[in-house]
Amino acid sequence: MSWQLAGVALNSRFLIGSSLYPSPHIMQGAIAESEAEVVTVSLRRQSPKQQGGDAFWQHIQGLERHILPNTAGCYSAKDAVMTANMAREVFNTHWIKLEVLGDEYNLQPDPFALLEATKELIAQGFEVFPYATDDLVLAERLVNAGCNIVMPWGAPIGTGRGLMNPYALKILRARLPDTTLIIDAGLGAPSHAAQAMEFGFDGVLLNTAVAEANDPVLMARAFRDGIRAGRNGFEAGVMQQRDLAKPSTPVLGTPFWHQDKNHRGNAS
Amino acid sequence: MITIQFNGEPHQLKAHALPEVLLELGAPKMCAVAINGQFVPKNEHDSVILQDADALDAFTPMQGG
Repeated sequence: MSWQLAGVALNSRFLIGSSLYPSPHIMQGAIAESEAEVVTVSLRRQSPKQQGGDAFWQHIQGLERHILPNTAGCYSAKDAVMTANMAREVFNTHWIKLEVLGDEYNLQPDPFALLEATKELIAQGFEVFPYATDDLVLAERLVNAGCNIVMPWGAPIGTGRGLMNPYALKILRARLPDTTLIIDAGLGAPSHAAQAMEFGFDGVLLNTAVAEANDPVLMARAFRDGIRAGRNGFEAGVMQQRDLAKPSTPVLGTPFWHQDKNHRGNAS
Repeated sequence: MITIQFNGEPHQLKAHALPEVLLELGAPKMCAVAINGQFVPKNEHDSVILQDADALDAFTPMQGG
């Protein structure tokens, strides 16, 4: 079933990164297998004698996906705004995955600089995809600043720890029902992605878990299927947990209906 | 001749105007340019003249997560 991301109709709820793959060929295979329609890229300073940038871009272009440039590595609102403007010119898109980091150790977003950069970029006409923590008030401030999308982390980038704070993420979903919420970063296993989707998140963005798998192409398929399974589960409605067991097989007409009540086993 | 830093390395250049400088350096067509840390949009390139000791950086598409 298709959905809307920043005004674009997509079939996949998987957004995938283009970094860390063993080779461009494997990157292409993994992105194709993921069926993700949005691919994140970056801008980097490069010697003109090295043509890697052009070669990389040709590989990405060949996939015919929507491009989501990032501002990875920026530690100030000013640098992030400048990087976003350069990305808009190079990639010809007003989409920007806004990363403004505040801590080098765990690559945690700087909420204050993130909000400052968000306001400036929205004023400049960008569609901002802010990489944020799972902090509710930050997410609300980003939405109030004009964000249609917020991307809370599951865990710090590249850790593969999954959803560290399910409580906070569920609260985000409940409090921002009209905002597109995408889990970005920290997922390690397809089950993590499935869990995020079961919570009702609109999509999942990840890179390392696929790119650094022993078989990135197979892992891309696994995440693709996990995301679908989780979304289907959310739409179907996950049952409420109970404290007490409840037999799924009818009790009426049990063959051993006459056995001692104190020794009766329950049906499964 | 002027000497500038291009992507962190010194280069001696005959050209001074930014479009000619980029050609002389063989900068890729698909790149964004910053001079002394400030982004220079493409529509301003024609009006920019580089000075000796300027720092010119070209940013190209790269892998990203």
